[in-house]
Amino acid sequence: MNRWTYTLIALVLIPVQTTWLTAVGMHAIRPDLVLLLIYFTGFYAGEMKGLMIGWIMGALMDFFSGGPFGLQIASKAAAGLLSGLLGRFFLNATGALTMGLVVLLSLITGIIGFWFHQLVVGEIHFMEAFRWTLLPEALYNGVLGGAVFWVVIRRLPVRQPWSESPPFLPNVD
Amino acid sequence: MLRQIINYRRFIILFLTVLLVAVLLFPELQRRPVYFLGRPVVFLISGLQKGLTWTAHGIGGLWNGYINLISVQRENETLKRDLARLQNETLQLQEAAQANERLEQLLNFRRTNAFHTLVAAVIGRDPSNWYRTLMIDKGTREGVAIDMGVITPVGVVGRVIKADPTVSQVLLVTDRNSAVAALIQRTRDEGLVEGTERGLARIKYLSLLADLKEGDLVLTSGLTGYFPKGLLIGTLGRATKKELDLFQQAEVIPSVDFSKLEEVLVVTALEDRIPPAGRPGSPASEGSQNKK
Repeated sequence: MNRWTYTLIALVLIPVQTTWLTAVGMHAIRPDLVLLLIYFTGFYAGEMKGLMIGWIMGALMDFFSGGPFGLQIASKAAAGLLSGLLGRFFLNATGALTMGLVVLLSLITGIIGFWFHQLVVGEIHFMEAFRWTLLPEALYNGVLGGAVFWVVIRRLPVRQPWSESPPFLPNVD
Repeated sequence: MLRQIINYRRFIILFLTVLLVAVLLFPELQRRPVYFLGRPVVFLISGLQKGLTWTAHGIGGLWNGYINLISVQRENETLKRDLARLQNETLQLQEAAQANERLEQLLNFRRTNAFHTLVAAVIGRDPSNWYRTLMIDKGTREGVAIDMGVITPVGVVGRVIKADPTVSQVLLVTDRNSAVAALIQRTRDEGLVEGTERGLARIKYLSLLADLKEGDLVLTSGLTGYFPKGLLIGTLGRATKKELDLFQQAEVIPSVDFSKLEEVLVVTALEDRIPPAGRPGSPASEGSQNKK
């Protein structure tokens, strides 16, 4: 995707996340479309692009969020970096693997967000946050991530650029 | 011989006359000969009729069903477009009627209360699941400021935490960072309503001696922020009282369904804080945007 496509998606995704997604929320928990965009970007285009899109989307989310500015930047940039690293370890992802990785990524970024929030605002019970926010959100993201993979990504000619010679595998020569 | 014939003729004439009279007198008898005579004729002709009719219908059907379908298709498309347009108009009218009803409720609420409010539409929600906030379409240009209370006729919504020139952000009472001074209507015990992780609220710092019952109304106490005293926050749920605790707390079920909010009222000023020029009825307030 070129920068205009990214800009267009970024401009559309935040309003969709803040308006229409309320309709599909379960117990006030909604899937995080931004995280999915960051995951697929990082996974298929590398950690640098993931980091960059995570930083930009996080900043946009912070403008619209009620939390301290920087929380979303931190967690979403970390998500971009992590998804890029995951993309180097897992080649030719399947729907089930995508679901699992999105759940994992969502949990990790959620814990980073929790830690950041605890640092700035304080007084949150981790188990309550995990039970009522982190875990439901991660599962919801995982299901939606799998669906996006099956419906969209699988049909697109996307390919990890390093899949021909994975840099992290030992040289057998 | 001739006489015999004449006699026969007489007899035949007599017989035919009697028969004619009988036929004329008893119409029922007319049908039988016609029926017996006509049956094969009718059968034959009706067969032809059926054949011709079937052919005509077939040709007509072929013409109408296949050859002449161009106009029908056009007509069908026009009808479909009309139907879609009418359905859309109906939906818009229903939506307008519902919006009208909600706005009427808001206006009635504003008329019956002394404090100044500003009607705002909800245009978005928090992008993350960490915070429970709303975005409203009124900002500092319209007089919205940080910490102003946001309510509906049904109850308390939250308070303004960010105010830009054209939009503002409202922290819901169900957010874990929210705190509203409250009291139990029946017992007059005071406490602090905070949000929980589950998207509900709880009232804390209630006296251990407070006699709490499920369903008790929880109201604003008027001690904090821009919330006037006596606004409904919700109803009391299960109370928890531990032996070593200094206070007891209870769940609060908010009276407002935050997932369905479309319009809210921002409390821009309480009555005793309104400058004299801005009081209702004063000349300066006639053109005011806050009170109609």
